[in-house]
Amino acid sequence: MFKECSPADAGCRRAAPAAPLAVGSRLRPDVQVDVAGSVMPVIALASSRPEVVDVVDGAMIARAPGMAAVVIATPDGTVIDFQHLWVADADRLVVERPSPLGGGAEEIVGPLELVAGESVLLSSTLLGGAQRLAGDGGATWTATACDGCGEVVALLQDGVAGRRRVVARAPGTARVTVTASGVTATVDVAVVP
Amino acid sequence: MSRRASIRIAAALAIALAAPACGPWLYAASTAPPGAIADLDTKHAQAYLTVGAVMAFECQDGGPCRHATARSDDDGIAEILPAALARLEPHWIAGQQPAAAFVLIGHAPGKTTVRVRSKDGDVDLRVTVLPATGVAAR
Repeated sequence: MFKECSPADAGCRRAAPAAPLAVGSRLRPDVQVDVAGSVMPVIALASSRPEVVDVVDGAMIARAPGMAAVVIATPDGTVIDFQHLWVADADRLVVERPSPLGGGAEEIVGPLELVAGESVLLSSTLLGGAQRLAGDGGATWTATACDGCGEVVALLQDGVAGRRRVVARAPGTARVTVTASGVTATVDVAVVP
Repeated sequence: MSRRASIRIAAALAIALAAPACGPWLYAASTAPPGAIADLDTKHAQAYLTVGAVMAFECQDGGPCRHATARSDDDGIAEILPAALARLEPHWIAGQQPAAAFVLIGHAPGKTTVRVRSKDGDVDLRVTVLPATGVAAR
């Protein structure tokens, strides 16, 4: 997104969602504008359709499915740029872990087996059909252990939204459940001695 | 009155009558997003816009319209804002001038008029904001 600035335009370099936003998600765009002869001016964002995408404290909030535009303007209302974006319902959530080879994440498709004391970093991604959706859906993470097992795994926050470090505490089995934007995914974890 | 003088007067009248049909002209400067409409008919000074869509356009009259301003009769239907293009363009009489650009925002279905005023003349753009269709309607 924002890759189509004409050389004759204000020379924008903008970071924004590369996919539709998931309903209920939030995304704070990194807006940077290069104007010849000027440093980046003070800017404000506004939505053409707040019922679809609202702008609150500089962050975009996806309210309902549809299309809207976010306008980048100076405080006096002079438009520097605008970008159309879409909001879609999420129908699936996948749990992933960063690829050890870098350059993306791998979907967790089966149970995880960890040695006690080991940990793994997991993240969640919302999908609408075959498409990944952007935005932080405010995922909630819970872990439930097998009956009488005590704490099998711990879920630690690492400071990044939608991501948790799963730490294997003691032998047993547990189920990690992730919920965001109304959809849920589970991952079974087995901890071996 | 000589035949030559009559011809001159007729020509002057023709030019005078034709003058209002001349510029300024409004030209679209952006494309519509997929599934939405954002069209500007320069000749008829009409714009069609899907609700939620945004369209940039420029005012031209032998170059950028000088000292151009614009206002909408109904901001609730279509809002008009000045746009900064950070670009100079040649004007036929005034040398290099900043581009006279505006951004039109479709807020709600309906019809309104955007009135563009400039030192080079005025033009009223009839704007129709259409209900969202397809994915944009959801």
